[in-house]
Amino acid sequence: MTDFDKLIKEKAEQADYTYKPSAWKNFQHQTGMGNSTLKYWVAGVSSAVIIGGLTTVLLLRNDHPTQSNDPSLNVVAIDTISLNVDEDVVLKEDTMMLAGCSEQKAPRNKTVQVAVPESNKEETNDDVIHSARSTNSQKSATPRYGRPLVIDVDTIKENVPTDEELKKGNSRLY
Amino acid sequence: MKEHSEVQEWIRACREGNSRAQRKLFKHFYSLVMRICMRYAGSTDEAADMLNEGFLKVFSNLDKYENTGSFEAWLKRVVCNAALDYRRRFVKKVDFVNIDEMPDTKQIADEAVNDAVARISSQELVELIQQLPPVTRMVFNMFVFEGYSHRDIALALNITENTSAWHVNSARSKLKEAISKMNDD
Repeated sequence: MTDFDKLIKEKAEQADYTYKPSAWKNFQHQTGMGNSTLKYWVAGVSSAVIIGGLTTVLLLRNDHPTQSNDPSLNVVAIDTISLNVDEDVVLKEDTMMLAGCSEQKAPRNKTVQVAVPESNKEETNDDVIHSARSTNSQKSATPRYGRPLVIDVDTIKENVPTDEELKKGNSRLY
Repeated sequence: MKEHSEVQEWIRACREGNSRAQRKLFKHFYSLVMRICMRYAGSTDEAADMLNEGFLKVFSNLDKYENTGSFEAWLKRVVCNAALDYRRRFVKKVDFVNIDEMPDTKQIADEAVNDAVARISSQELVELIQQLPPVTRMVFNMFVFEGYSHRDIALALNITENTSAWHVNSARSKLKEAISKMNDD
C-alpha cells in the first residue's frame, strides 16, 4: 500500500453520513423487517375482536334458546321475577298463589298446571291447582280451575322492586 | 463503555425480534455502514440498496455473532461481504486485462497529489471513487480499505493476481488525475 493509498483511506473514512428517519422506513419497506411488533399487535387485536364477536353471538343465542328452536318455555321461579299480566287479571292474588313454585317446563301456547305450595293456600282461598298459560299475545281459553294467569314471557323485566312496591311492603316477589 | 453495554443490550433485544432495538442499532451504525456502501456503490441510490441488504444480513445473522469480539468489526465484515455480493450480481464477468497496458501512475508528482487530496472534502473523494469503473472500484476497495492481498482478491473474484494489481493501479491513476483536475478547477 502506497502513501497515496493511505491518504485516500484516511480521508474517505472521515466521511460522515447523517442518519435520516426515511432510511429506516426505506429499510422496512424494502426488506419487510423491523415491523414485527406492529404485525403482532394487529394480529392480537384481530384475534381479540373475532373471539369477542363469537362469544357475544354465542351468549345472545343462549339468552333465547327456546324462542328459536325449543317449542316449550321454562316457567321459572315465579317468586323471583316481575310479571306483566293481562289487565283483567288481578296480579296480586294470582301471583301470590304461584309464589314459591319450582321451575317447570311448559309447552308454548299450552296450558300448564302449577302446584301451589301449602303456605300459599291460605292466602289464595282458591283451588290448589291453577293453570297458567304461556302465550305471547293470545288470551287463554277458559281455564279449568280458578282464574287464568297469562304470563307473557317476552315481557319479563327484572328482579328489582320499584320504590312504590317497597313502600307498600309488598314482599310477594322479593 | 456505557455505549458498548447499550449496544450489547440492543443486540440481545434484536435477537428476540424487538423492532425498536433494531431501529436503534440501525441508527447507531448508519453512518459507518453508509460510508462502506458509498465506496462500493456507483451512486447514492445504489448505496442505499447496499445498506439495506447489509443491515438485513446483520439482523439475520446476529445469532452468529459471538459477544467476545468487537461488534463493529463483525458488522463491517458482514456489510463488506454484502456489498461485494451486491456488486458481483451486476458484474457477471471480470474482463481480461492485458498486463502490457498497465496504467502509468507516475505521470503526476506524488507530492502535488497528496496536497490536492488534503484540500478536497471526504464526500468529494468518495464521489470520485464512485466514478471508477465497477470492477476497478471493487478491487481498489478490497485492497486499500479492507486490506485484502492481491492473492485473496484473485481468489474471491476469480481473476489473476496481476489483474487485481492492474485494477488497483488503474484506480490510483484515475483518482490522481481526477483529484488534480478538481484542484485545478
